[in-house]
Amino acid sequence: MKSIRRQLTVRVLTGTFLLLVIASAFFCVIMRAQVVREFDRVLKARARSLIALTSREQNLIEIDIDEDAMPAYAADDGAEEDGEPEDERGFDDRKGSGFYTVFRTDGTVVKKSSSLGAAALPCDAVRVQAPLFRNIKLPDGEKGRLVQIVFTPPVDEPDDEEKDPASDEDVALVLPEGTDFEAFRLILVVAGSRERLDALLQLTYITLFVLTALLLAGIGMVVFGAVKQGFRPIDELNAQIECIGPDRLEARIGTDAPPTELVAIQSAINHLLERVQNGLLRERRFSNNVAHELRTPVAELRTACEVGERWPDDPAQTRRFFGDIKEIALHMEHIASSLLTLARCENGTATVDPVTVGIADMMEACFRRNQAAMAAKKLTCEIAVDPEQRMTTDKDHFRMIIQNLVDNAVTYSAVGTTITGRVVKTPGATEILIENQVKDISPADMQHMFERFWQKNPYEGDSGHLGLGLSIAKAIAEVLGMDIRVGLKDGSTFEACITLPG
Amino acid sequence: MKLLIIEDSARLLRSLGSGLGKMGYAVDLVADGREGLDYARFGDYDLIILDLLLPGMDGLTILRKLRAMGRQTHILILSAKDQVEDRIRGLELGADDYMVKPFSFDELCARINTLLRRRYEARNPEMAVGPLTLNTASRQVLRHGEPVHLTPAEYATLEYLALNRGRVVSKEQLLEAMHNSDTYAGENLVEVMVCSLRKKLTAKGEDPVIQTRRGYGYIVE
Repeated sequence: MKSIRRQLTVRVLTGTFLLLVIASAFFCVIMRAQVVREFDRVLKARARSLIALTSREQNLIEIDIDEDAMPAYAADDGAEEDGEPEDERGFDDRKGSGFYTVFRTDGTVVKKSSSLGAAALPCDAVRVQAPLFRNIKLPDGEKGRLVQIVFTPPVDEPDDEEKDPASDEDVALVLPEGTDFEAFRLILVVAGSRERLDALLQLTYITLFVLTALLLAGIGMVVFGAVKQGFRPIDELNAQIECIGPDRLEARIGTDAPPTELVAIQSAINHLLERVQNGLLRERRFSNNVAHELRTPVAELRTACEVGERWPDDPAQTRRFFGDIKEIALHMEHIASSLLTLARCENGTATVDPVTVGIADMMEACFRRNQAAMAAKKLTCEIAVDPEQRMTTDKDHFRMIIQNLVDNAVTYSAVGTTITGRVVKTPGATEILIENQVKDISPADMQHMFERFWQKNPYEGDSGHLGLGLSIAKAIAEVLGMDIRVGLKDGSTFEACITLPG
Repeated sequence: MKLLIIEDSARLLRSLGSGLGKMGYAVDLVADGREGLDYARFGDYDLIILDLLLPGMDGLTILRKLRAMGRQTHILILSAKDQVEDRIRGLELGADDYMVKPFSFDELCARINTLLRRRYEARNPEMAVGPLTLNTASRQVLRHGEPVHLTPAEYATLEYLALNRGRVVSKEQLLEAMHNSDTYAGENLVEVMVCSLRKKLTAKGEDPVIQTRRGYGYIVE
């Protein structure tokens, strides 16, 4: 199973690791380049200083390098050096650690340092003016680096003193007559050991590696802690959700101050829980109501059968019982058909066959069916609807809506009152209103009006009522694209309003 | 024995009235709560069978009011409410028994018998009265071990006298207990019933089981 926490931790750590590695590598490259550049600058400075010691006086090339003054170029005879300790000197100041060779452009060696012994530094065939740097292996086997510079020996004013090229140690080369002095070039190759440079670079790399590892471990712990802390509200929600079961649907999840990201989820889950709880309660209530509605007719049936069975020789009683059984069957059929109508409306299997229907005719027909009950309660009706007012809808379904509302009005109207039916046109809608005067109904009862099997006083009035009329009317109205709402005006006028589509 | 049934279902009232009437009980049937309370207050019933959900006044209110008035009539609640809380509430308010709809008619009869025996403090369903043995559960009468065939009305009269054994029962009491409020019955009907019982239960030369206390009524010793 995927874990967001694990994925997040791994991704953050991987990303951090990669960034650190890249940053370290970049730092290493920059660092190495800087150090090498510094090494090369020193090497070049040494070369320049050697070039400064080189001069041409007429046809004599003098290289005045005093190895006593520059012990780095002297041969390493193993003797202890005076002065500062070795590890406090520059990285190429040790005795015998510096090398140089002066070449003619044809590659012949003009002069070289004693530190080279019999060997000579390599000279690249490229004869460019710009200094050329490269790594080499030094005669003593160590790694080294050299700079190769092509230069023109600076001209020195001739001394008054006659020089003997053979005896003067500084005269390194005698140029033959006819040499183009202006074009004459020498090549100076200066090399030094890379040992300290490499040691410095290695120390830098190791330090960087250790720092990166420590940083990564630190970041890992911080990330792990931060993710754990950040996921705490989710863990709490999980724990709360795990505690919710069919027997604990009243529980709600969340804390007093949930994180912004969880507010919507928490709200949605709580809303869902509330709906599930309400749905289950409604279902239980519905099942209870259905069972309760069936208990009495079943009790009637059973008692009639058992009594009839025990005393079968009473024809009058038997006839009466058969009559009762028929009534019970019709009552149960009414319950079944009402529930089926509701179910069909809700699952979308109710068929709609639109025809033109006269609203006034429909109302009158529905009131006519209640004539006897209205007479018994001394009720009158007023239908204030234009006889020509028509609409297109399913006639049977529409009649069921109106009939249910009229039946309801007749059943629950106060004795001697008037029931009114009228059509009201409002901006954007047409409404059919059925109003009647009621007693013992409170505004709080309005919220229960569409609940199945709900009756204010279930044993008042006609016992044939199930408390399904308004539920059925509303379900059918929704199928026809209408809406029904009910309300109580002035505390005693019950109003059922059908809003027609369009 | 006189029973009052307060039940809103007219069909159930008809069936129960018919069945219990054939069992020999005098049964008054009422479908409205307020009317039922009036019947219970002013009638002398051995047992009231009471539904809970009634028009006019609910069954628990009737029960509470009757007990508050000091009426000790045995009450059996017969209701579609089947929850344990409903039963507990009914019994705590003073009902003697509780049955849930739908129910078995035989079980109802058995419970009625039990409550009636309790009312007359006769725990044993078999009662010995002289040479007679009455079984109030099977509603059978034996004389010297031989069964005697009695009509339901005759049995009910004998059972009422036997349950009030040692006490003089007036003709009015017998009429009240044996006939429902809608039926007109004169005292001579009681005399006819007692005469018929004596013929069936007394052999020649034996003292009658049901004796007359002139001016007072009848007694079973």
